[in-house]
Amino acid sequence: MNKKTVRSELAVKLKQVSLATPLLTASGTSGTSDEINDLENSPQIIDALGAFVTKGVTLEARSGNREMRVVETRTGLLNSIGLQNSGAAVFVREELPRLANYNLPIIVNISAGQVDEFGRLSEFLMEHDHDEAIAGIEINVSCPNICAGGVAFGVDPRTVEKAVRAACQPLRRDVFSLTKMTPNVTDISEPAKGAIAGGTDGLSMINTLRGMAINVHTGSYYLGNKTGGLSGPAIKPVGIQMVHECYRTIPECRRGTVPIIGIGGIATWEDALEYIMAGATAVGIGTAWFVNPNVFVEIKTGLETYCRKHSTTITQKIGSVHEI
Amino acid sequence: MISPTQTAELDCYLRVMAHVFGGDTTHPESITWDTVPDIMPARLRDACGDFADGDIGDVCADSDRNRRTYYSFCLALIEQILKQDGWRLSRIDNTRIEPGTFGLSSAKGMDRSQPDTAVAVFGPPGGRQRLFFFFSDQDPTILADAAIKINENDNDRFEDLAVMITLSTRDMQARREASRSTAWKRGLFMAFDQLCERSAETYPDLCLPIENMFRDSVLSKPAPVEPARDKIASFRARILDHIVVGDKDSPYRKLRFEAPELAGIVPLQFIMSATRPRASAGGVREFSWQAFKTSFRDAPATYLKRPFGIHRAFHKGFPADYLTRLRLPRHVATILHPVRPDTFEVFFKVLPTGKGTREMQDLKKDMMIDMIGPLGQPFKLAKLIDQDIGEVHVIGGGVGMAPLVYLVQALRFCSVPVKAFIGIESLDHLRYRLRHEQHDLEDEPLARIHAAEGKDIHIYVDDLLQTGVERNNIYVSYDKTGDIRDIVPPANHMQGPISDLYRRSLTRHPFDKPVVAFTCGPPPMMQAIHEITRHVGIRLYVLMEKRMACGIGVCLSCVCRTTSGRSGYSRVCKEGPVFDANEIIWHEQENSPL
Repeated sequence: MNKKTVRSELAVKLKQVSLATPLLTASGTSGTSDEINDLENSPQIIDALGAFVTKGVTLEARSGNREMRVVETRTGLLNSIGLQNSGAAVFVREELPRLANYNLPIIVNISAGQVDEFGRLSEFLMEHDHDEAIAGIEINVSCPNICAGGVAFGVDPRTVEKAVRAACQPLRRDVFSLTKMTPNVTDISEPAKGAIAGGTDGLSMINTLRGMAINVHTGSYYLGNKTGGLSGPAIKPVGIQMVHECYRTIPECRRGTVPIIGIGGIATWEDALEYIMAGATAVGIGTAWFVNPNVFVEIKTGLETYCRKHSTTITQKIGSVHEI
Repeated sequence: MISPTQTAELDCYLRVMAHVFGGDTTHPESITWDTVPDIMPARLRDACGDFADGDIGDVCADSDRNRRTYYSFCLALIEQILKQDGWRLSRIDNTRIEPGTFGLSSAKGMDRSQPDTAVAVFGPPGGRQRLFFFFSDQDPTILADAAIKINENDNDRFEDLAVMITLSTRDMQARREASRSTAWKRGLFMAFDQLCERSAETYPDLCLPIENMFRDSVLSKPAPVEPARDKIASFRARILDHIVVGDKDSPYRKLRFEAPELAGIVPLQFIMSATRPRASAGGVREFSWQAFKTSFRDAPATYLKRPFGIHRAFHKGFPADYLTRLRLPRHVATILHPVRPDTFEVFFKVLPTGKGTREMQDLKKDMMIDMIGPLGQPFKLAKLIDQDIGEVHVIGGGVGMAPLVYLVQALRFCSVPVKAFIGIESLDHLRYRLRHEQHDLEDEPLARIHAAEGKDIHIYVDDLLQTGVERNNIYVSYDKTGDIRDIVPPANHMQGPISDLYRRSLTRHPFDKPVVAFTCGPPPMMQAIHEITRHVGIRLYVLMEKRMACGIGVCLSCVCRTTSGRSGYSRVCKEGPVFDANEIIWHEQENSPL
């Protein structure tokens, strides 16, 4: 699928898949179809990306949460979209073929309310992916905007393990799995270890932090769903610490057998490199791209310049802060 | 067996294709049977099996004849369209067209006073206005001379206009770009692909093969065909002026900015704009310790861009009020383009609770602001105008009127009669005055007309008058009364909701031709308007406004409950912002402040 030559200082590997750059779209911020192609600078954006991560796909279509779905907070964005999507059947039939136009490894973010539903969704995708367009899946055990029996799914290491095992079991051998971790826990390495025990090939962290905003002028909640997930620069230090913590305490992460995708508040190349130095192999960029359509291109150029100036590669910089 | 008539007909189509896609540069031998059957009229398709590939190349080898056939084809299509408006060919340069093709009628009564370079001149019988059609591949110096002559003779009356027909939309854009400072700046443009598309809607028999030629045989190859909608550009716009509209406490602001990147924006599409100049390369304001110390509260206030509809668009070379004099034939006007607009205005209200609009109060002349656009589905005005509608109503509440003014500008270009209904909180918010010491009056299109007389300017009302809407077709409703003398006639204003004024005007003016309406404003107001239009059989389009994050269809923040949308929601930024009012599920619309 990925016909780009991957021989640069930016190339990284996720399991058996080589990525031309360590830059990914963060799930939920780039749609499930080829909307990016409507942008004038789409060739440059796609060139800057190593892989495309879709918005969350569920087995059945979901209409999402009620309006207002988004509110801006200081250096952050609070959202409660509620996993609106057309369902797996429409996704494989109509949207996935269009994603192939990007000519990038496609990582499908999947979400479910129950453990066995993850298995069925994963199986459905594999059965219907006739062109083998899917390079990987990202198992979302952490969406703050859907309820799973009142308990956040991704908090309990044993539930995470079961969900990941169910989702990974039907995968083709060449399809890798990532698990999207929630930051709304005391110690993120615990559910991360659960995901690894369940068989995940990599970890994506972090999802949004739970948050709330109240409009003092109306005396009511800003969001229709009252609470939402916080993203944007405001959460970056939290993400850095969590990536750092997993890299430090989990041997598989340290050895590189379970790579980490660093996500949360990245807006500049320095932010991206910070995640990489903390232990991330690649990074996801989301909210910043709403602000600046050139963000992927700017970060790619920034990282390239950095690597050339210091005669280094991204791979060499992974977890470099731990050597101190 | 293929008959001689069929051969001749086939020959014509092949020549047009050879000219459009081969031009003078590549040899038309590249046209083979793999591509030809797609463009063939159905009646010819079966009969032409005897042709060999080589024959086709032979047919099209004469590039000069190909060009003349192409001219004939274009002019035949234009003649067909103009006929609907009662216009006819008044003069033609026979040496430049291929005789006997596509049934182009020959002109009588050649007008010797006109420049000799004209290929064809069309005008209404007895009318004074004329359109001179030229082709972009004619000698550029002759074209420029012709345009200058026409402009000079016309003397700003807009009775004679030069139209340049280009090979494609992309070609047209390039020429419009290049023409901004040259002799053609007062002329109009027309692209061949748009001409075909336009004609195909009206004359399927004549144009279907050409339509297919674009769709099937060409789009799969590198070809000079631009997709219908402009790609979304991200760019920096220069602020030209920031005007407070209304009395000194008024929250209304008008921003004028320069953005050639937006030239392709269609009325009712929108832009997203940053609320302050960008501070750092990453698009995120760099943390400033000084700012942090002095004003923590204000330092990193906003992050996202804000959506705005376009209030007005200005074309260099065309005075702002040119539409008061221009009377274009309606059907062809939808594919006529002036030089590219490069100056735009947005009109907005500073919300007491809105961080973004509050920040925008500090925007000043020459600041560079990040924007993206054009956004949203381009509304197909050509289709609307085809329906032989009697008139269009636009009903705007507060700043909701702003994007409708740009729509009116486009409708007036096509000579569509318009009635405008403006709902405003206070009449004092409409009025403003420009002063030499604060504003560059040379640049201000409204000031040139009003400031000289020392008169107040009224937002919306004067904008609409400039687009050629008559004063007695402008209606104003308000909550707080004020001085309304000289704004609109007494029968056209009232205190109360805009929907009441609209309802009242309808009972007073029954209509016999179909009427189409557009509305934009707070959801309850639009719903009230929908109640009215539903009962009297007016088709209503609503322009939805929602809080947005990305503007390009990926974040799903700006969704709106509709019957047409997947999962019960449509994205305002992608499927919208214009919806048929019947698609909106009104009782599920939130009325929270944006």
